[in-house]
Amino acid sequence: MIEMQNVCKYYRLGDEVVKAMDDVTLSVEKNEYVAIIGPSGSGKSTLMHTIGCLDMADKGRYLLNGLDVTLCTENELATIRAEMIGFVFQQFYLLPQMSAFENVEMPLLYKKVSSRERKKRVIEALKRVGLADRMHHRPDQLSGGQQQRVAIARALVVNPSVILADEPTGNLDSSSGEEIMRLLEELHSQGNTLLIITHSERIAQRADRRIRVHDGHVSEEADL
Amino acid sequence: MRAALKMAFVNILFNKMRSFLTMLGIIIGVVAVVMLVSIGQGASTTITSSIQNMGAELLTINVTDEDVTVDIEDLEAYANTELISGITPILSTSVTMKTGTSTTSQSVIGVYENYAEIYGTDVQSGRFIKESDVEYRTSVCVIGTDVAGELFESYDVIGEEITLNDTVFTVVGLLKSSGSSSYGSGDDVILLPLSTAMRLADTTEITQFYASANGTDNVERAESLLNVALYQLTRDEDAYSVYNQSAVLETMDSVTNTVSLMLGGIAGISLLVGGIGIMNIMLVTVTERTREIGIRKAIGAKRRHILFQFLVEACVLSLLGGILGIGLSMIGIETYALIAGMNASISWEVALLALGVCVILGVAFGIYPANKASKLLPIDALRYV
Repeated sequence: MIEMQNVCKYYRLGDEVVKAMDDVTLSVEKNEYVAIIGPSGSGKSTLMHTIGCLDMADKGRYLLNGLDVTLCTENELATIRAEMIGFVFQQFYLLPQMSAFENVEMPLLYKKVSSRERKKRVIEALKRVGLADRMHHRPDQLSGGQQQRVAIARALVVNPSVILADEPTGNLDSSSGEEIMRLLEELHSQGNTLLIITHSERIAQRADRRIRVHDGHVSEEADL
Repeated sequence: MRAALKMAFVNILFNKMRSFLTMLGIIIGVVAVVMLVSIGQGASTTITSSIQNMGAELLTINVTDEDVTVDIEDLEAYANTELISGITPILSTSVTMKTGTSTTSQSVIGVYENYAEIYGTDVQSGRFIKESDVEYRTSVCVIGTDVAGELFESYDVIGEEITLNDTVFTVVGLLKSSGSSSYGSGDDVILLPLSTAMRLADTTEITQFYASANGTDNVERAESLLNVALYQLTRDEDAYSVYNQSAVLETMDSVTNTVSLMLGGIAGISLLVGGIGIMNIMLVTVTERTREIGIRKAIGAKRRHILFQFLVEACVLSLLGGILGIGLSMIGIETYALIAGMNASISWEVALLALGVCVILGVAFGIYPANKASKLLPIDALRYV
């Protein structure tokens, strides 16, 4: 489902060229549960942004569901993000002025979904993360764990091909972090492809597969 | 569309201070322009109509040389012609008026019985000065409504008495109101028989005449005719002058135009200042919301979605501010009209123009930074702090 071949991404930092991704080749199949692990600055965020079509690779080929993303225009990338990818960010990235319901509804507004259908799907997504009773609360009226669950519902509502979670527990205490991990794993067991980016070995151990990133290079690590 | 409008209202309400500041710029711009221009136009119409009330057909003749005497009989030869329907001598003077224990200075005009017709006035009750009043130098007077109000606090004044320069005058008539303005009133006047006024003023010279042209089209030709006639009578073209009201009207018009232009200029500057206010807030607002743009892009918004959202928000905000501004201007203008006692009404053309300018500014400066932000890679917009 995700196919990367010899992908490179360079940044210029002053006079120095930073190789955030250097000749990365990897593939992820449908329904897999993969952890991408590496210390900060290793290039794992760049990898995730490229997988999530937030950023474009400089070189190489990236096929998502058979579609060559490197050839897409900006608008096509936006459509891919809207249709195939559900993001969960470390900082939740909810819009503070909108209720949980409106935040979850937002991705559907960018697709042609009728308002009745939107309502049905938003409520369903909020039920799946266990927040149906809090849908009219604004983010500042919710705890960190609850906010992250709203963000997960927002990712789920479009029925994405893959859920990309970037340090989803990074801003949470350990018990709500554990809750979020269980929720994500439950979604995986229901048939979603799950990619978790983390620097924590403990979280990475829970995944079926680990991809280690170091100085822009990736290496597979088989399950023990 | 409904979702976009709803989102716009949610965003506007969420940051009330920011929304208020944006609207403040628009409100100030609209109020300044609408109020200044409307008041300017109101003043202009008031002046014009008060001059027109004096009669556009009226010509004023002044004999300025003290050594020259012009007899009314000589001038009357030109009256009742194709161009001039009548000529009447007048004597304006100032007398002391005693009312109770206080004395005040009061302007009076000595007139012939045909003054009413030529000047275009009439009594609303009682009678006007008669030929016999002039002939027998009777002590009667006709007063304007302002005088009546001041002296008697009623319009039921026929038979009342007024003391002017120690002579007691009987009020025989009350003039119709000619409409007052803050530029002086045609109602603050006392009319006497000409002969009586000459005695009060202790003069035998008549130096001022009113003539009325036969229709507004003939005003200028009547003026030339009078100039020729007066030259034949005096043989000195510096000894007299003839004015017509339309010349005064034109002068006043150009004055009020200048004033309007000046007010418009000030208003334009206010609009500019308001516009800069809108611009600043919009630039800050959108820059502040770069991260929001990043989030929206990350979850699938296309550039046009972002632009459309900011467009709707800017439109709603600008329109709200504009409508508030017009509302405030209407209240302001009403209040001004009430306090200044002038006619001033909102000028809708200007209101719409000001509204249009503010909305365009709001939208332009809302869209410009939004467009910039929407071009960022989502990841750069997300990282923006």
